[in-house]
Amino acid sequence: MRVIVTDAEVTMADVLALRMTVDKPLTDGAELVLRHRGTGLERRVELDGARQDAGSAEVAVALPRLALTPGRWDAYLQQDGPRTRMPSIDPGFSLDRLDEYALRRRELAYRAYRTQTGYLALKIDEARPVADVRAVWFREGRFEATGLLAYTGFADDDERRRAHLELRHPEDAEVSVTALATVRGVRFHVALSLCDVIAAAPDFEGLWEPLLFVDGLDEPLPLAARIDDVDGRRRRVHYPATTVDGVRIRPCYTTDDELRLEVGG
Amino acid sequence: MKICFLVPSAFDMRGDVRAVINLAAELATRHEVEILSVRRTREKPFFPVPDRVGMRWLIDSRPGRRYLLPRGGVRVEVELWRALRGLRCDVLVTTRPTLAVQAARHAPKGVVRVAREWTRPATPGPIRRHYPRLSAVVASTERTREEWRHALDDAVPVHHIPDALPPDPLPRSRLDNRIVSAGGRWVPVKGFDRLIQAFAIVADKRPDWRLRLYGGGSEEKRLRNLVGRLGLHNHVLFMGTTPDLPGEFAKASVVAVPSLAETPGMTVIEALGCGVPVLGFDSSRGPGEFVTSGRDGVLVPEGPGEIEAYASALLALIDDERRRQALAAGALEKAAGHAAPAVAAQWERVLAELRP
Repeated sequence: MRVIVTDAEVTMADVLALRMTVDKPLTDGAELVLRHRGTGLERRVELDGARQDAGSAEVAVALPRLALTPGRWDAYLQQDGPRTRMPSIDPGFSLDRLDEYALRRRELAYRAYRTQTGYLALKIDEARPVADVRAVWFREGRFEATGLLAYTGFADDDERRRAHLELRHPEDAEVSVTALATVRGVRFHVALSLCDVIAAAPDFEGLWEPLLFVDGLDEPLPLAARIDDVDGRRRRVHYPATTVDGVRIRPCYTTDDELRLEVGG
Repeated sequence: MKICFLVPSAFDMRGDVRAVINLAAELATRHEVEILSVRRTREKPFFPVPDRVGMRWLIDSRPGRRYLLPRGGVRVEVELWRALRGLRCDVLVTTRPTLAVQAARHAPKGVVRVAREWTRPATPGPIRRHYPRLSAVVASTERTREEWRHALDDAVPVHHIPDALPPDPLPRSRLDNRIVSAGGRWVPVKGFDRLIQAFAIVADKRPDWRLRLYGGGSEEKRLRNLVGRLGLHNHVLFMGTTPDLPGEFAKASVVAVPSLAETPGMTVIEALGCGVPVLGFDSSRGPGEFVTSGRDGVLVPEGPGEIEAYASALLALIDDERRRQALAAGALEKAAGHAAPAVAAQWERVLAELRP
């Protein structure tokens, strides 16, 4: 059976909506097979009630009831014989949709994407609340960052919330630097004096961990860059360094895309 | 028909390698096709080669491999001579003038020998002496065909067949992301510094747009320094290399091609195939050979004020979604001429005429 996925989207309600061109109509018993890439675990869903026109079909599959685990799941279509991998021409990526999807509080984040070899797959991540960084600067002796709060359940409105940024020393829990932060709706802006950072631990060389505390959230939010398709920001984005009192400071990302402030080095 | 493509290295990230693999993959659905790589420079080919295409290499040049005598060019000549003398195929397609000269000298006479050319004839002496022994020259553009015709003085038939897109369906851009993409080797001729300078003007006016640079090369440090100097660290992402450039282009709303010379132009063709408008410079060997300004892309004149003009054109595209949609439709139309089955059929016609 020949199939090409023309549209693939995970809706806000975590329903996988697919539009496909097919050379044969989908019959009763046609199944969508999802196969976990690491373990080989499989989940099967019967595609009952697919809307079909000549040469095309639309299906919707509710993902939460499949009990999928985090990781990457390859998609196959099975009907009258061996399963077929599903080539996709949907680029599987929309920045605005990802931002919208991240507005809700979630435990798992599902994303339909096109693999490098051109097939449909699902990427599932654990979705913890995060302050998603969109821009970082050093301005007038301050470190500044701005972005969106993701998976917090906050509405994208103009409501102000009390918030502060805490820069944590990685080795000494007693040492930290705090500064007020601005949160309006899901947008945040933080600014921190670099002199305060140097003064808090004059001899320290290493990575400070920034955390955003927002009223209404139980846990502080890590500053990270997760709500797009770019993995491995550490090598893709090089922020410029600045020097304060002879000490070099540079923002950088960890291997799991969390923002850090590197002092010295 | 057994067809052999002779390439300097089928393992590298180059547009001509991509073009050969695309064509070989399509021809292999009906013929026995093999890619003969003079060098093997890495473990696996950068671009995936389908199983139906055979793959051989002559010299293992992976890092850490050392040979005793003969070394360097002599070793290449010896291995190539040996391979060409023992070649068993109906058609041999070479992909560099140096390889075409060797094929003209050493390949068996019964083999149809075709030189695939992307650039103008650079060494007229050896070409005039050896190319008349070839069966044909196949140029990738009309302009290249005229140049080769002129250089060879009609001693060999010169045809024009465009490069092929991959046989598999290409992703289709929705043109809804605030992303400008550019891809290719980061070398001076690709002109990425001009693009970054132009994007500084764009980012100032449209700060929510991002530029993604795909590829790798000797210019990386210089380009990163330029990005730092212009304060574009939040706007320009160095995405690195990818074997799936069309997949990344399809996420963008505009593909920028700032190169001084665009040969073979696979990035432009792939961008068109994904339905993304192309913005380039109207240089003599730039993307103008593949793009019709105002129909499937926009070409900006080179010369004084070119950076500002390029930035203005980019801003105009960013601000006009309907124009982007119209250009995208034109891009898909243009890309139809590069569809693998259509291109492979042209090759089959030419080869059928040449075979005894």
